[in-house]
Amino acid sequence: MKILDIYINGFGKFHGRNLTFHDGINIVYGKNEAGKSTIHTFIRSMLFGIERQRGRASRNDLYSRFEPWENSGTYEGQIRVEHKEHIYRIERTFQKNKKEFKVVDETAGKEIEPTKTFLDDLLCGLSETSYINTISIGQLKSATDEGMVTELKNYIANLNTTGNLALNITKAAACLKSQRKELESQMVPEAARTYTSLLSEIRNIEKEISAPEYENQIQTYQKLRVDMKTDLEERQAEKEELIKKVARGRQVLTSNQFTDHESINSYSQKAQEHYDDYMEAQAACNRKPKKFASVISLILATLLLCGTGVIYYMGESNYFSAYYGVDLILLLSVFVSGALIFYLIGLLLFLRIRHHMKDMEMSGKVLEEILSRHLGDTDISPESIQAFKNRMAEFTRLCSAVSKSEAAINQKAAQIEELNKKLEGCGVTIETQQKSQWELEKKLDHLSGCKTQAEGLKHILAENDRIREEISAVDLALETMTNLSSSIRDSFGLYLNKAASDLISGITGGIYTSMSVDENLNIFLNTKTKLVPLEQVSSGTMDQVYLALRLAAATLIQSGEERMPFIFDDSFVLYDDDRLKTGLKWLAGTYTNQIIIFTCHQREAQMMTANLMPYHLIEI
Amino acid sequence: MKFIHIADVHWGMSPDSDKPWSRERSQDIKDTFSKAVNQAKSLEADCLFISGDLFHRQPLARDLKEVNYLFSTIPGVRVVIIAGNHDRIRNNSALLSFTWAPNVSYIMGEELESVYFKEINTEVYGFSYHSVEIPENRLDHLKVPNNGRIHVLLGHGGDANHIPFDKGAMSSLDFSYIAMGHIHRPEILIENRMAFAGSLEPLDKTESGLHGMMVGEINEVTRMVTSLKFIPLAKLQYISLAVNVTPATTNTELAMKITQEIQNRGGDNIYRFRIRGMRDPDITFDLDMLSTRFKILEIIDESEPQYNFSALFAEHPSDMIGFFIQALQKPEMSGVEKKALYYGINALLRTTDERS
Repeated sequence: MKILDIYINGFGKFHGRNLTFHDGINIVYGKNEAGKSTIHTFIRSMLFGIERQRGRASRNDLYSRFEPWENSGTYEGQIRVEHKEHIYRIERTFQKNKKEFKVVDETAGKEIEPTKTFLDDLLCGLSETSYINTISIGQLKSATDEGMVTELKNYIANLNTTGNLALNITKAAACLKSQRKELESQMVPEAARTYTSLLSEIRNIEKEISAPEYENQIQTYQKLRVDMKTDLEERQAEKEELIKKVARGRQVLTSNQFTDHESINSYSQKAQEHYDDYMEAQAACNRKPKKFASVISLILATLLLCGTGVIYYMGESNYFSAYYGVDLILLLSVFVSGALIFYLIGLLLFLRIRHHMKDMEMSGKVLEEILSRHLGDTDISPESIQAFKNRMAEFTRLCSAVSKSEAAINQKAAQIEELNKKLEGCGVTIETQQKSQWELEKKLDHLSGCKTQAEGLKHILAENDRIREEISAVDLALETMTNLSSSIRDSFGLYLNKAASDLISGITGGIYTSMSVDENLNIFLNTKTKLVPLEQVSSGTMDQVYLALRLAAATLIQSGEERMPFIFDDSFVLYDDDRLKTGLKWLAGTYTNQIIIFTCHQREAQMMTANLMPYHLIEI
Repeated sequence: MKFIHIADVHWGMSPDSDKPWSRERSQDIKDTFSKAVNQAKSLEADCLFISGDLFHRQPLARDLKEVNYLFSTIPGVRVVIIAGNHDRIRNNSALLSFTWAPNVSYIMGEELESVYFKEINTEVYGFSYHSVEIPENRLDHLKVPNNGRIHVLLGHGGDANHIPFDKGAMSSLDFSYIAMGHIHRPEILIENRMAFAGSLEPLDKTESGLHGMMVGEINEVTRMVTSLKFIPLAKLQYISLAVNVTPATTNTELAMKITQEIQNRGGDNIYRFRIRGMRDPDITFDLDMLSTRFKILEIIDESEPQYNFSALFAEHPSDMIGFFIQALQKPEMSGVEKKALYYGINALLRTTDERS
């Protein structure tokens, strides 16, 4: 494709301006501010259109920058190009509300639908970006050598790794990495760990509180306590009753001067003995032979005494003496002693009876006393004794009842004591229960806190997951980019470096034979004898390398038979005269494409003239 | 016989525990519960039914005391409570030794029990949870004696692990009213027969809509519910909104739009926003400042940067951008791939070296 002419009807400073281009080299000369860049941009805009930028970017976009200075209401133009022996007229209106784009095939005399395929073919497969990157060639922007090195190196690296001068994989990767860092800083890394430890803590507490010691049996124990208390009270009442009973029995016994069985027994035994004595005495007293014998004895004694008197009175005349010849004295003494003996016997018997009487009287008295005390009756008789015995038996019964009751009291007391102990134990259990309930409450409180915290953490974990997904997206982007860049380098980068290397020799007029790029994207220029790092070459050489690179890229990128024109925008400012001569000669000799050189110097034209090279000059 | 039916109070819960309003919400739950108790008095209800999950966790003695105090302020209202899965009765529960106010009946048994109130001829049936789950359907075949009393059933469940009952079977039971709990969305299951009261206060973001209590009346003679209606009581609502953006939407515009929406719907409510649509690739929405002014639970940014990938691809057919799009773009992209594409393109476009 080559450009035949352009007609600018309202674009920047230009209105109704015609420019014609020829085959080969065209030099567009104009002083600074003459409008070279406007024409340059006009060509680009005619070929690719002007896309308005959105938002804040729109203030300084192409559209606003090149809006017509005079408000004529037109912002449009035409460009005529020749492509595959057809002449096309491209007409565009840029104005935002009535944008128009028309392509007319002048050779065929018809309007053509500007399809993508057609445009691709017309523009030799170049997109606007690649157009800017390749065939539209300016100079390196940087003013300092150092800046130029960086810039050029960047361009080479970009072309090598992204296939585009402007796309910087290193910066893009750095941008992604900083986004990744930003995202990472939003994560709460310890959330997962805290959550896990919280969960295990929750489990532990739950296990702990399900232990039997925390079972709430307060109510059971309280009921038990109440039951026990009632029981206790009942027993207490029973015990008191018994005590009263015992006291009464005791009182009865004591008032009868009894203390225990023993005393009752001995008492009744004594009474029995007295009774026996009494009865014996009575019997003895009442024994008739004794009394009779006593009386007989006394009578006999008296009789004998009387006989003695008689005998004494009669003297020797008594019967015995008289008759039997018994000595009177002997007789007398026999009688007297007989009387004495009988008296003695009588007296003795009498005394014995008297003694018995006394005995009887004494026993009777004691008995009477006993009987009167217990029966209120002093009669001593077998009946009364029987009554007494019954009475005593009653006492014995009472006594045994009392001691039984006393035993019962003791038993009750033991029971009460036991109950009291149990009650106390119950109280202690309830207290322990209350204490463990209190502990439990504390644990439950803590558990609840843990659970709430865990619930909160769940949200944070979800948020972490979300961020993690973002991070993996960034990682995927990074990985894809890295992979792509290495494959771009392996294919496009390799060809590019080779093509650029081939061009270097021509552009520099053989000073440098080739260019090499190592894996770290360090660039060396090769002379016949040594490798010169890019950092060490002059700025002019750097511009040459830049040119070589772009020309190489342009060659690689364009498709089809036809070639787009090269457009140089003040590209040779840094070239010395020799370099410029070599460069221009090389350009004219190497490329058959249309070449348009925008310049603010006259030396390009002069040099062309001086070297008898054909060119077309356009002055603006 | 007039009754109030509430459920799922979750006393003691701190909703949205990672948000600044969590404590406030915890108090709201208690406030609204006390409001419901007061309503029982002011509406002169005969009964207050609480169908489980009165407490969020096993109640502490102090919780019981608090709640019991509230009940003691309505001595004329018979309060009947069952335990749900959250406040299920465990062996160590303080409930086991707690003495309720005389008007409170806590049905603690694991098997069906009832309390009978002679004055209003009403017998209330129910049973409490003693385990985390009751996977068997224990409700829809209950049989109660036909003794001329008004029968009310308190139940708790309704999902697969918590008494999965059959609504149809429930309708044939001999109960005047079945007061259900567990499902947090209030819903009348059978007209004038059976209802979920729903949670008294909404407890998390899924519980949007109004929350409150069921108020109903049972005719003493026919023993049928004559009226049953839902009365909102909750202090606030969870509201989920989708906001659509266009590439022309700016951050401020979006913030103002959201502010407007919030102000229209009440500044006290808790909001979730989902941002949808295409946004300007240069803009990332940052709405953090809204979170300090309103209760915003989350803002899910689902907006996608408006990259014209086909145009970009046409523009960069043979360089990194083109290749990158080619490598990642396919008919059915996963979320991560989509995002990776956006991240990569964004990074490449943003870091472009100035062209010469």
